[in-house]
Amino acid sequence: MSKPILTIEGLETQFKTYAGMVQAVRNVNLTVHEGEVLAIVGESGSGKSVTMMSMMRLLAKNAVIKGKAIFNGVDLLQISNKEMSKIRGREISMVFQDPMTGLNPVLTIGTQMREGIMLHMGLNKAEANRRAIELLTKVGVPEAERRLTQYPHEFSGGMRQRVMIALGLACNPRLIIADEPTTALDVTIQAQILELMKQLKKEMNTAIILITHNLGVVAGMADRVAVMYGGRVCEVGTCHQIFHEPKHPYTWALLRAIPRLDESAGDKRRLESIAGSPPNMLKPPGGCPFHPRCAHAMNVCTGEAPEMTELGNNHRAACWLMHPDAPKVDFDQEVTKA
Amino acid sequence: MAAAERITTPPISFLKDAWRRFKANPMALLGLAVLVFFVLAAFLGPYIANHSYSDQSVILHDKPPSGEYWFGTDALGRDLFVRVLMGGRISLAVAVYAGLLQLAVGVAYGAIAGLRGGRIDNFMMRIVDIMDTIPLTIYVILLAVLLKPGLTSIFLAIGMVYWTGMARLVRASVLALKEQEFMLAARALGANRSRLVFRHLVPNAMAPIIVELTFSIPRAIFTESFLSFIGLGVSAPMASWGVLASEGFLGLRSYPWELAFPAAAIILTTLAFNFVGDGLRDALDPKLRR
Amino acid sequence: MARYILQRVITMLVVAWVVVTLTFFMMKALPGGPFASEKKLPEAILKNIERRYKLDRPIMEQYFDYLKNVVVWDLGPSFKYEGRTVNDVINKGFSVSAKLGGLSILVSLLLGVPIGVIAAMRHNGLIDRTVSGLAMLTAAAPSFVISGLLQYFLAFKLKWFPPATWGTPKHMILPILALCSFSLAWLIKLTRSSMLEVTSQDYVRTARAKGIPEFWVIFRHMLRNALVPVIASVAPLTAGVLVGSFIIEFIFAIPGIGREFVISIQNRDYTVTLGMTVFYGFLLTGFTLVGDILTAFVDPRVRLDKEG
Repeated sequence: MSKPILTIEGLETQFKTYAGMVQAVRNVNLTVHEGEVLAIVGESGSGKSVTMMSMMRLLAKNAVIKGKAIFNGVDLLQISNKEMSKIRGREISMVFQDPMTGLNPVLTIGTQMREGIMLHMGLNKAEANRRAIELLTKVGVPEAERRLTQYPHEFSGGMRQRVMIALGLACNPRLIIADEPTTALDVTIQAQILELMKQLKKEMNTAIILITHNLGVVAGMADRVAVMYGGRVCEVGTCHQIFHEPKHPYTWALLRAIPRLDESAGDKRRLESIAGSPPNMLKPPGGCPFHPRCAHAMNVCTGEAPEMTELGNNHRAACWLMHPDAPKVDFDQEVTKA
Repeated sequence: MAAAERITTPPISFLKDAWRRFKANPMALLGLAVLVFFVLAAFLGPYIANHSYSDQSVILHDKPPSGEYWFGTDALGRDLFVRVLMGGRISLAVAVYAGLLQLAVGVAYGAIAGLRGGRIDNFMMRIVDIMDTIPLTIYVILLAVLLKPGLTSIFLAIGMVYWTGMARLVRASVLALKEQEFMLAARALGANRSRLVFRHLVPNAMAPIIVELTFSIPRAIFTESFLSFIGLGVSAPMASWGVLASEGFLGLRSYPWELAFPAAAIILTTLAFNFVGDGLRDALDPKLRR
Repeated sequence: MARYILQRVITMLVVAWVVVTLTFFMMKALPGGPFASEKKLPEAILKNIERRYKLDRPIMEQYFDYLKNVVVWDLGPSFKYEGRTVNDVINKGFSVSAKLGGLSILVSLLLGVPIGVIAAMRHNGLIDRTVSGLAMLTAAAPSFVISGLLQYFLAFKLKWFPPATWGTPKHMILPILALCSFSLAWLIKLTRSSMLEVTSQDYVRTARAKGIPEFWVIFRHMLRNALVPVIASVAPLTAGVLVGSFIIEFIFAIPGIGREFVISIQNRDYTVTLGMTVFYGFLLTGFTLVGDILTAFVDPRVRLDKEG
């Protein structure tokens, strides 16, 4: 295992709102190693984006953040905003979900690309231009030189997302956070973008945190996976462990919910969804956040949140079923047969 | 609000919901209260007041507010309080008539453009664009000059010119609603054209129309007072707030209350309508909430 | 870009033509119009009018004749005053009105935009609420009320400024304040809401994620976008000031064309009124054209105008 470059410890993020304190992230612990792809999976509202935004210090002023986020020996949550802005874009970059609104409509693509490059790498305009052309070509934007003088509205959605990725790569960061980078694109473009990211990761050995709710994307890209629900991490493990030896009921539910095309006509199975709705983070349920929707919930689940249990080989799950006194429940292995 | 409910008349539970939201907005409620008070005062006041709006006591001219004359008297010794109330009747009447006229013309124009689409729509909107290039107030002035002086001419002038905003709004609503799924669903269920328009299109388009109407009233009051100030308003002894203000202006130096009271009436009414309009907008389309 | 400008110029010419045509036919058709009145006009004027407008000719010929005159910029004789033409009236007062209007617009922009930006940056703070409240109040007051207030308190009571007429810089303060009050309030509201909207945009987040320092984010990303609607509104703003000038010049007895316009209305000097309307029409289409070109400069999305 390569060495860890980012360690998040005990991260807790709350938002002050008129209605009260919204607890978006509760006690999250994650590690990312050099050159690996960590996928963070969960429903909308599970806290996956907020965790990353907290670490990047990009949240609004009403956010209250506690805990540690150690990158390269520096606790990102303790440094000043000025110092953080030196790290953003340079050491850690972030690619956002919606390419249609992520680019400034009144500035040329060239200006927006050169901005970061000139700032972080100290190049002059001509050198920055050359680098921008290089980057655009690398991400698959044809006629890069001409494109630099154009405006975002002259690009298609897929092209814009490529530009966003190029922005993410511009200063050779050690870690890229990609927040649902393909959700807003259609399927064929999705595939292209993911291929691109895999290729780039191989070339530049960048670590990637991939936030997504799409398990298909995870299977294709991730080295390790963290499953989040209700602001907490439920299960962490390698891609193989999560797909073939899942231990947390929520992970099971997610896997079961994947529609499958390979069933024969006689084998009809209803599309499984998870009953219930995501928790209200203003007043989250006590104990384990998943217990209201969990088929295996026990009394202890309503009272106390389970700790992370080591399952060996860096596979961890936070569930009372892992307790030696709990009943043995086996996941329906059918679903995970490849 | 399941999809099934929406296929029939949307507004039933929607209205209750909107009213609840409206009630939660204190400024809007205040505005509404002020308006109701003004309207009642304007229409009932002159009946219970001591003086008629045209009674002159020339000796008692330009007197400051007192127990007898609550707002004082004007240059011809008329009771300013009653005149302001009468002015309320007239200004509000002008505003409402003009608003309704704008509504009629604007909704018809916008609906036709939106429903027809294509080249007709293009052409109709070009006309609107051209009209909007020149401040409409100039047209209003022109019309007011050329029509016979009087109340009717004023609200005709305002209504016939200011409808462009409403037309754009209605057209935009129609265009957006035309394509929405519930329209498709209704047609799939077998609704014919007129049913589509009246039971589905109109109720959903009502919200922005009502809001626009609410905002058009203070605009009309402003314009009417503008015209009156120039001298194109209703004739004596009838008085709108604009006429009172222009009369009051003449004696500004020595008798400031003669301008102050009608001016306050205009300002308060405008603010009230603006608050109510904002409240309506928030209540009727929560998606617009900031 | 050039294509866009050409499109706008053509549209403006059409607008100008529509204004001229409308005024002509309104003049002819409406019951209160000059040619419908049965009153006896003074001999000399009657002769002038008849000769000039060729009243016995078919209407279309009159119309084309009118068009021709407008193109050569001959707006005709006054309906009321012998020996005076509409052109005279306009020439006399234009420079005064231009000064008044121009300064008002400048003041509105120079004060309104910064105040709006500051209010937005200190959203919901004391400054923001005070400014928004004042703006709302000012916008609810018709211009003659503001003029009255200013005249009463600053001229009559405190005697800081002369209450009327024109001449020295001191004479200019009150009318400019009165004239720009509405547009100032409006600009403050517009700038503020535009800034607030920009603050929550995704591209601002992208810029911060790139590590751009905060002041760059504000000036280069936020302001540039927030100012687009403000610049686009310069044309309607100017139009509003123009219309406002009628009353302001009238109240403050300023010898500009606005005042002449109002006087011509009161005197039923039809030709002057209508001739000046045509003039205003041209002026406004010019402003709109300038506004459109400015907008295209700052907002590249506009340049890709719909090709039919």
